[in-house]
Amino acid sequence: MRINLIGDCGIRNTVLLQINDIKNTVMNKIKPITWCALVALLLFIFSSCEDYLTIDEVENRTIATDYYDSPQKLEQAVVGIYVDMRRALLHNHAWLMYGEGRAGDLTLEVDFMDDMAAQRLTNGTLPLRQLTDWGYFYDAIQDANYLLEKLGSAKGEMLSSYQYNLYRGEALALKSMAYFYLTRIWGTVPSAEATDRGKLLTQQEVLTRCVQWAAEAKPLLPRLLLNDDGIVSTALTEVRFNKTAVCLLLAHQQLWLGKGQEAYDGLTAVFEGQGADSLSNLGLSLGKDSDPDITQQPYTGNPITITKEKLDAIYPVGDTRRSMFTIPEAGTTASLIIEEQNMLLLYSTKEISLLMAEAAWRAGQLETAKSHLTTAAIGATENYALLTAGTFADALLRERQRILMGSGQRFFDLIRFDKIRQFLPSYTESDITLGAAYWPLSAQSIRTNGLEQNKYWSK
Amino acid sequence: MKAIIKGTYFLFLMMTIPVLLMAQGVKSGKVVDQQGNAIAGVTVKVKGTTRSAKTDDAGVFTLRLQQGDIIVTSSVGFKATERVYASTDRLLIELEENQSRIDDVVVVGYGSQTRKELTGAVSTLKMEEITENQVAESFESMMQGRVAGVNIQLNSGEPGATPNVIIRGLAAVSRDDGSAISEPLYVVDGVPIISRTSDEFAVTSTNVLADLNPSDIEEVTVLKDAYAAAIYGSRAANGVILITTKKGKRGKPQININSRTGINFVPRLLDVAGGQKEREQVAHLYALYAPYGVAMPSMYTDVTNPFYNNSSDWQDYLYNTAVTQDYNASVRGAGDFGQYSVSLGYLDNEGILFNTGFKRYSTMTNTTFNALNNALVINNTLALSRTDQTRNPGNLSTNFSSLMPLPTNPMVAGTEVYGLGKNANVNDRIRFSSDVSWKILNDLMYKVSLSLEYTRAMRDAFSQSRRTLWGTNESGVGENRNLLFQNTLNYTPRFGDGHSLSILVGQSAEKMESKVTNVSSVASAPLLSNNVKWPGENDIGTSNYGANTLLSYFSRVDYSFNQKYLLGASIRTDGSSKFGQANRWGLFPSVSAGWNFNKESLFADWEWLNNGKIRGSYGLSGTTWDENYLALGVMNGGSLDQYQSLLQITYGGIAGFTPTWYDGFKNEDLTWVKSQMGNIGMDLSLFNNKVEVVVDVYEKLTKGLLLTTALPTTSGYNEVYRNAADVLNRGVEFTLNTNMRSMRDFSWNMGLNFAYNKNRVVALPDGNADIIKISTSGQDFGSIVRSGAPLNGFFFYESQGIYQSENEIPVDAKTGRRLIGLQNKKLAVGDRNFKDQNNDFSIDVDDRVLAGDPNPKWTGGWTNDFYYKGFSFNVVSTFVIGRDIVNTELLDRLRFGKDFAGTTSLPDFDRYSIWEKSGDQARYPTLNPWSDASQIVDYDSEYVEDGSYFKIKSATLAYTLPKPLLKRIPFDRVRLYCTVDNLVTFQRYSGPDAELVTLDGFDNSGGYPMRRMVLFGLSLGL
Repeated sequence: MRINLIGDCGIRNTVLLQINDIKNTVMNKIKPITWCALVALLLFIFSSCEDYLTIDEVENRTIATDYYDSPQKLEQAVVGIYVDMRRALLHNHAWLMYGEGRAGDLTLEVDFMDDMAAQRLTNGTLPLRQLTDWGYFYDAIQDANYLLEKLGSAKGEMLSSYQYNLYRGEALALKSMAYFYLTRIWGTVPSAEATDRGKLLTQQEVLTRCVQWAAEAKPLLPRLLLNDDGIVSTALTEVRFNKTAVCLLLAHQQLWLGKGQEAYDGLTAVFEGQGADSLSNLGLSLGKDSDPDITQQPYTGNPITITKEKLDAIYPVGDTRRSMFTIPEAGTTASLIIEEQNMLLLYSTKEISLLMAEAAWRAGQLETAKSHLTTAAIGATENYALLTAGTFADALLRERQRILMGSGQRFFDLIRFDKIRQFLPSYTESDITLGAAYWPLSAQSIRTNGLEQNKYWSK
Repeated sequence: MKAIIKGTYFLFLMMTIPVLLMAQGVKSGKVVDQQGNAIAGVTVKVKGTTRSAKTDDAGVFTLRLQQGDIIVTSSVGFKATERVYASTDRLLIELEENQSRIDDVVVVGYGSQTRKELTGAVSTLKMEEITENQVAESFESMMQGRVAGVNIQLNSGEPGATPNVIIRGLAAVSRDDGSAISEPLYVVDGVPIISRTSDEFAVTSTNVLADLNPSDIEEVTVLKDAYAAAIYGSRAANGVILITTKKGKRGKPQININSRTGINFVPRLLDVAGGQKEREQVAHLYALYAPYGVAMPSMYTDVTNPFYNNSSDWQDYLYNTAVTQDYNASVRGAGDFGQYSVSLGYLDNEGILFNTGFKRYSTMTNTTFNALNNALVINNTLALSRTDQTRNPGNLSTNFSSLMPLPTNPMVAGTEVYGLGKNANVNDRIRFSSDVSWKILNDLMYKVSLSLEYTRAMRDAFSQSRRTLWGTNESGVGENRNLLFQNTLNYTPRFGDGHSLSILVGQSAEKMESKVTNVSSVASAPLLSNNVKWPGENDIGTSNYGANTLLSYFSRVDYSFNQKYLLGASIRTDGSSKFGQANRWGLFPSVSAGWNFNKESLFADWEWLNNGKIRGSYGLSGTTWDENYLALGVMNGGSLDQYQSLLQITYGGIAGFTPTWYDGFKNEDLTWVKSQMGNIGMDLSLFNNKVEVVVDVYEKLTKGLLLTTALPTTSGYNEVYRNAADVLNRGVEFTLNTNMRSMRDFSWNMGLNFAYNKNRVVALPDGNADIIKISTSGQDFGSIVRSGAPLNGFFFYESQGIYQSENEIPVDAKTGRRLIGLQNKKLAVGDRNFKDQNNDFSIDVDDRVLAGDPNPKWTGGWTNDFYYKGFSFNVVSTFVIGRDIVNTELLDRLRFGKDFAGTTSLPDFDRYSIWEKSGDQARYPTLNPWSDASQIVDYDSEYVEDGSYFKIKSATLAYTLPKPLLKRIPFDRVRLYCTVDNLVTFQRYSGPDAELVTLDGFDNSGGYPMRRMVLFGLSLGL
């Protein structure tokens, strides 16, 4: 630490006034030379060095303002956002609970599963309090915004253009993804942007912003990332935002907004004619880190299971995708096989065809859509060439359910395809109008910000 | 003709001058006190002339006098006299000691004032006699019960423990334990000193102020109200304690030696069921409650066990009569050159508990040099001290089962299975200050001072398992450095008819640095010094450094008209590095007024009224906190979040680092905690100053106490420190001093003081949400901070007795469900009957209520000093009334787990009313050690008791040898005395000592009871 003892010294006026009062009274009694010495002394003493109070460096502590002064440290800030996202999606198996868990497709041997299945989301147990708290997503958003602010000044000076584009692209994409999760889980959510912090945004507004950020990130992110030695690393690309992932994210958001044509154009521009080598999945890194405390949960411990009855309903006998499950002879459940236990898969290359199919369909190109769906649904027993405009949506939704099983998308798909009531008949039309499709908010989430509980859940 | 006139004139002169000279001869005289002792330094003047002189060491003065001159004498501490000089007079002037303190000069912040001109609430305490009669590690405990409104509590009997000093009520809020106390500022000879170490940098728990030898203290002044204290600005809200050390006095060198030895006796100890009784009680509990198949440990049943017949009295073994020795020597003197003072002190205070004690080595040198015809006064002080506190390393406990063999038992003697370990705590302090005062004019004084203070604390601890001999080594060093530069200019003109003014302007700059290093290792021997290993993944050491600066400007103006009408105003602005740019400067103004109404003609005939003053003040003062960098947003990755979930920061081989992880919030809005205090007081001196009454009424509103407050989760942060809580303290203080002299040789001085304080939380963050205090590890402390209630009230389950029958257990009429007890226990007969406050048929945290107030309402003291010839008898008592405390000591001893047998001692059950069977009218519920949920629960209102007490703190009988006797021995003064310390306590509390409780009201005596000391002393003056 260094505390400046010498700096720009300015004379404090108030003190001078007091000195002047004394001066008027006593100056006649003092010899001029003494007076001069006194004044000089007092000027020295009573001059204020504001810098005396400023602590420039704090040696053994990390202050956010001064910390990010190298590419490596900025990368730590980027990684910090992934860590926040991982926490948001992993605690209490959140990603699954927000998706297939609540939809009733998949189950886990955890205490709160019964509450989930019964849609008792305001139960108040610790896992449910945590699941209904949106704080972790906002942590990621805050960290992304902080990084974007820091990157502004780092451009050209500290970072190569590759690093700048990558970090900025990642921050934008992660922010876009965090808001995207927020609005799909809770519907209407407040902004955490500096311009309108706290303003409640409709889902339409949130999605519009998400699309904007993802679109901005898209040209910045490379198809494949380089490691510290400047060599292309597929392992790194898989756990950091890459062009494949951001395009899928963008298209997904555009489809939520009903902008099929835009989604289709974007997807074809990026993926048409691309070889598999330039494509990559995106997942959140688990387990393989140097820190031995990072467990491979959720994939270790309790298996993710499905009832055999439900399995048969979703994957009819003959569907080769039944191989995604271990189906024991005995018992009533089958368990989901996790192929890649080192990451929580968020965007798979398998989703390209699915999203292209949906985009083409929503853009009015049914034949193209059917072709993409057929490409996506390898192993299906159905002949999708026979689909009509009236049957396409159900087939697509079913294929998304089959292909993306375990990725946490199911419940969000039901909202997007407006099928909540069909699959969860316990909800009435008015429940859905009040907001039953979205999650309640924990007390923690709505304290000190004037927000109110979702109308359905506050009934 | 001209020549004749000249000649006549010359002749006249020649004749008259000798006559005049003869009439106005140079006379010598002597000034003595009532005992005939010479008084040096007395000013002797001839009234209406400029003729004056001062008495020398022998009390002798020389002055040109003529018949009819009025000789006026004045001296501090004696009544002024006037007498007409008659040439035949034998010039022996006897001065009477001034019993009135009204003319005393009182030290105030950055200066001094006569008591008559004071407008603030200021109390002074002369320490000379107190320090001579008593031995204590620190001066604070000697002040106990002597100053109204200053509540000093010794919360442990351990030598070197830190007492709590609270002036005018507690004004500190925290979310964790009760350790956040509102501590006063300590200033020694004008220099604020290091009086405590923040938790972050604490290495030893020894009282930091214990290294200040009380025998070096002349006087302690307590600044209580805003006007008196606000000149110390940001650190004055909890009062200021000014310590003036002893200086040399004019006359021959004063050599003093004070030597005393005390015997520390063990007080009443815990009742323990030993030997046979313990075995019976264990057997009884097994018979009553042990589940099927669970048998008593063989040590209780196997008569062939060599320890079967043991009845070890661990308390008797570990608590022993101990000896305290204290030696002080000093040489002091003064003359035209200045003054000098050198003192040495050594205290060895053996603890009554095995292997504990406290030693202090101290020396202090103070010199003053006068130069340039006294226009320049140079003053230097150097104080060095070391305290060495030995604590119990924890291997031996007074709470061991009586069946365990004592180390003296031949079966284990020599095997050294006990007593392995040490816990040494050494604190060093060096304090050097130097100041120069320059008298520019008679009434204009400039003073510059520089002081440097350095403290170092070292702790070395080793504790070894009795069974495995596997030991833990710990070593720590902590340092604090303070550098302070102060400048003041004092202008004190007198003008017109009785107008006087005192103007002070000043500046101070202070830099405080702290550093700490701690290391530890685990080994089978005390090996830390040469063998610090890295044990696996664990940290072996930590170090920390922190610094802050404080820059201040201040001014005070006091105006007095004929000492009748008094006005004062002060202002201080403090800037601290602890805050953000915009908030670092705090302004602390205050005003006051006083009226010495006895000087009005209306009261001229009231001869019994010697002095009467009404005074009032209002002002702002501040409080700071320990953390240096709260405003900066210090990042600390990987901490627990609000769900106690650990954040794993490694991702893809890289450790992430973001500001949202715990404390990374840059918090520039933090600012000073400010206290608004209003005070109205009255001082009366009656009946020839034989009775003195001081009354003060005050209100102190402390605003903006620092607390963590919730942030909207959308911010990315959980909580942030804010100036969020307000606390109000209101009170009345009353002091009565009398000094009666019934005959020439007998006098009786009595001092009674008491204070009433009411404490209330006014505002809390997050919409006045209750704060239930929890430790950093999540343990509930059982205290609550609630708006509208006193600070740290007990938050307990309300006991309604014990369930005597099944049908007493409430049943929900709607559901048919029975009330469920704590920890979801199925309630049974003999269990504690807690009130289900919210009628949800489940006892849980929602059923806790405010069950007591640990803040004392009335505090005070009563002192009586009797003097007869050379004998004196002094009794000091203190009292606290209106305080609740929790008997945690008993609670802990009644709670048994299933492996209770053979581990700890048992209380004698016959002495407690414990439930065993239906119909037992018991106070304490079933002690079933195998119960799923013990009925001896921490926060049971049954354990709240009245904590009021009256304690005769000390009684001293002393004898001073008379003058005639001294002529035969080479001493000026010989005094013998005997003091009994902690003589007797009257209390309603059923535990050991109602004073030994923590600040938030929980019994703290178990670890170390308060000794009773009989002290014999000899004080010599050469």
